[in-house]
Amino acid sequence: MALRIPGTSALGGLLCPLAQRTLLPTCGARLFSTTQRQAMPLPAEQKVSASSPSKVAGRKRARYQFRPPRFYRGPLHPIQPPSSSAPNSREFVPEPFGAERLQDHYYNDLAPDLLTMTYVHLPPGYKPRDFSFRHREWDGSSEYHKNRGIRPPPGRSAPLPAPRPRTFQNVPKLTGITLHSMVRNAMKDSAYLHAAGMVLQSITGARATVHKSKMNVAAFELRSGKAVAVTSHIKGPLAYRFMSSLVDIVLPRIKDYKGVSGSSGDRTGNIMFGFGPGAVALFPEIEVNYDMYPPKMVPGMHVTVHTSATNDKDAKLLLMSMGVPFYGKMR
Amino acid sequence: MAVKAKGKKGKQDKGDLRVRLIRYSLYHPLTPRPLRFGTMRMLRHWTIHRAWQIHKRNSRKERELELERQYNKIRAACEELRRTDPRLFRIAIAKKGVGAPPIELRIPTDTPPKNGWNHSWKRA
Repeated sequence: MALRIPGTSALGGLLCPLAQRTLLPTCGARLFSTTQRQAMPLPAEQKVSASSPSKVAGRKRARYQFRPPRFYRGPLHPIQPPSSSAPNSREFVPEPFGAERLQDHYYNDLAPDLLTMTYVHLPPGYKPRDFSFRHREWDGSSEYHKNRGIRPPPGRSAPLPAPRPRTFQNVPKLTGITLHSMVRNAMKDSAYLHAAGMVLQSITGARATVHKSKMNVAAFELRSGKAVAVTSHIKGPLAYRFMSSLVDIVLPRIKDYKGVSGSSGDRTGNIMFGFGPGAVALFPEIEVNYDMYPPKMVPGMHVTVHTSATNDKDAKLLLMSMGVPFYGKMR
Repeated sequence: MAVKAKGKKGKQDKGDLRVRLIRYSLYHPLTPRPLRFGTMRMLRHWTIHRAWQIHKRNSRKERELELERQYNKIRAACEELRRTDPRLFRIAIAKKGVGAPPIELRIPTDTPPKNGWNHSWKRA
């Protein structure tokens, strides 16, 4: 190692036979000593379980175990938390405990039905309409156009998604549900907000997020920077579970319920409707311990159903097939 | 949990008990420590988890393939009808009577309720 020939790297020096011989006993000891290893004889009275041989009588726990960090310290930190599916993760949730009825119903019956109902036959050789005109670009007449974002269409902030012919890949499905509840009384007493968060959390099974008011609105006595609303977003099996309890338990028990307005929707496949405090109290998770909430603090809420449909018609068709009633003119 | 009345301290107003309970259960820091598994137990968990993921993927693939097969059949049938009988094809394409799914369509259940509907209720 002391003799460095100019032009050879340090790595090349490591590979020369002299250096290898000197390195062998230190870093390669475990690699080359396999022939000398022998099975440790166990005492006769110590029983080793076949399913968990590490549970020897003398030692209760493995010598070293990785302890997940309490806080996530960024992607560049050497200590990274384990994936959420690992049981030693702090985010680990044991699941599943059962199948969702509505999810099974969707995959077994509703998806093929929706595919058949919304199928439009396009003969071979048919050219779909070109919707690229919806995406405009800056003409470059000003120097300030250089690093601007996409130019929005006239009258809108973003172009609407282009309609696509129905295939087996774009059958509309439920992608998520957002519950939102704005509590104006939370300006005076935070207990209203905490009760609303507890209600949303128990209905959805997901933690509620607190939102602050952005603007001062004198008419509503709103002040900016004050926490006034809670939302909870769920997807997957939780979303299906919420929908099935809504359709099976809550909606049939609302007296004189007209249904969801047929004109609801944001034109891109997200349907929105709302419930008053009386209807929220009908959810089984609230009803079972209704006494634990102060009655005036049970909030009303907005429900936004996110679907993979790109227009409201298909999204409403999906909700109708799940059992949500609509009234009025369907738009 | 009973609060003892000790002179002035016991009498001070702590607010609604229900609100205090809600606040406690939402914001207390008493989260349990993460699970610690031994090597073999962790290995068993990992094996079961992988098997479940593979099962989920297989059933999803199967579902998607089934839907694709149905789509191809619908498409082939419509194309055949278009070439053989244009009149029947027009009738099939018009989708007369195909609109909303029936409201009687319910989510299937193994345990339907006996008294699910209050028939005696009348509008006030």
